[in-house]
Amino acid sequence: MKEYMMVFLGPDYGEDGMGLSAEQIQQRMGKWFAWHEKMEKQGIVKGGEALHAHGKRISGPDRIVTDGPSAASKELIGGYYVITAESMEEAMKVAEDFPDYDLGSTVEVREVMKFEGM
Amino acid sequence: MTSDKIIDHLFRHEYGKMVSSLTRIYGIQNLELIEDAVQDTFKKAVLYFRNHSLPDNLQAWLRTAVKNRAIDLFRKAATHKKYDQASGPGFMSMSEVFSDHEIEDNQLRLLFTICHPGLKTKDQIIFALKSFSGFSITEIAGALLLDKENVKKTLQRARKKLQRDPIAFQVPTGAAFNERIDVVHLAIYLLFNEGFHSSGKDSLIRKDLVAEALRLGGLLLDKFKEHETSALMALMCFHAARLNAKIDDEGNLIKLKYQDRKRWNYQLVWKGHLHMEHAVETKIFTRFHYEAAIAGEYVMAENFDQINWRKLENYYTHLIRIHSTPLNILNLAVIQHQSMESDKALKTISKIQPFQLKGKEHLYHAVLAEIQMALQNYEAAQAEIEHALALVQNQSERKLLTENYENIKSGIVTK
Repeated sequence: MKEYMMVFLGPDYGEDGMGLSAEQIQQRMGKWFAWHEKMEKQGIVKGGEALHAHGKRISGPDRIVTDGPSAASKELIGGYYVITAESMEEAMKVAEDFPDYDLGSTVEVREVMKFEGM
Repeated sequence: MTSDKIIDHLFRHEYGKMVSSLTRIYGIQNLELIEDAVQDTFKKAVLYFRNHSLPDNLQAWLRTAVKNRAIDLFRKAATHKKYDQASGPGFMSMSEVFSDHEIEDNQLRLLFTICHPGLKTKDQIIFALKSFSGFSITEIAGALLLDKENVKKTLQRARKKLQRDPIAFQVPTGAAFNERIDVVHLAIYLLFNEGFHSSGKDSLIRKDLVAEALRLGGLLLDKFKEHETSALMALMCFHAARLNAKIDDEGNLIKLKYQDRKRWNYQLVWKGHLHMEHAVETKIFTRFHYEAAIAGEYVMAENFDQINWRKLENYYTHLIRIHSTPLNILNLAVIQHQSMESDKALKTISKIQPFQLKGKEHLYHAVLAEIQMALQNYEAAQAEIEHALALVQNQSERKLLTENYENIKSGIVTK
């Protein structure tokens, strides 16, 4: 069994991002909850967290500090899950249920590198 | 508790309850910070429940979370001071203001405060939709066909107005109450009309506005039991009953005469009827009484031919006495024409000018055409209908007018 990380990219839900209303947030909550429940039942969830917007980036030899992508950026990482799956195809099947495609958000699926026997 | 059991509109309705309760503590001048706290809590809830199971009582969970978030935010705010004095009469603790009974009173306080006499009605509606009803800026812009920036600016202006020119966060009493409840009624009615009258908008949002207006009216009625509120509720129920039948599949308006009565919501008709019974237990009849009576006559008649035009003429005459608008006068002319009194109708319509019906000028010409036709003034009728055709925008209305035009032309030939 391999492990895959699903990284969620898209603007923040808040007023400085997509500006979702109370009603829409409630809908999102229902959808995310249903997805999580489904994955839990399959027993494939290894972990996952949601992330705050407004992070910092540190880069280069001079450790230049800049603001992370804005809350409205499509490149903002909003959270991740690590799941177990047989193959990339199977992991992608799991990712099909990601609730925020209709908002234009993206899932990046990456296999976790294992260092067995090292 | 599973996801599909989350109560309909729970978040939206909780939004107003939380905002009004926190305003009771922290004061109306801190509205923006309060709304941030509520918005923030909802956003956190959706992230939190990605990998936690839902609590048995989500409502209670949300309330606790928002209380904590508010305390947190106000602690962080640079302007930290004693907030308990800002909220007007009497200090109340967090747990007190979040009791069910208090929540209702706080909602009414917020509603009456938003209907600040210094704000324009349109601004009051935008303000109420945001702070009371929990609509997002995008939703409001979509619902009222406004620019998002425009909505943002209006909200900023409204909040500033309340900071500069603060009024007590309470429901006024005595004469001031009567004045203010008029403003509240009007705001609710306009909110309703925004949802009811436009055909160009997204139908889901349209229904939401109608439902929200009915909810606000119901809240008001439960508390104060004013006859005028009942009349307004009756009016909205009678109109709302026809909501599903008044738009065709392409989003065009269908005239009352051609609406499928099977698609009307008779539960709402019945509700309107009950409200009407309470509304008329008074000697003072308002515009809402007459408008409700008119709307009621239309939906309670078994079919279009059963409509009692005499009764309607009477209602419109009374209505125009206390609330004279060009559209009401035009409608009176239509009623008189329908009851075969086209001479009278011609006299009535001559009291108004087409330009007074902004955006509906074609209706003036279309009605006048029908009246002239009935009076056998075929040339005048033809001129009017040509005028109407030049002005009409809506496709289904154009179709109807074109048919009338053909009739008139054949009338000229056969005269």
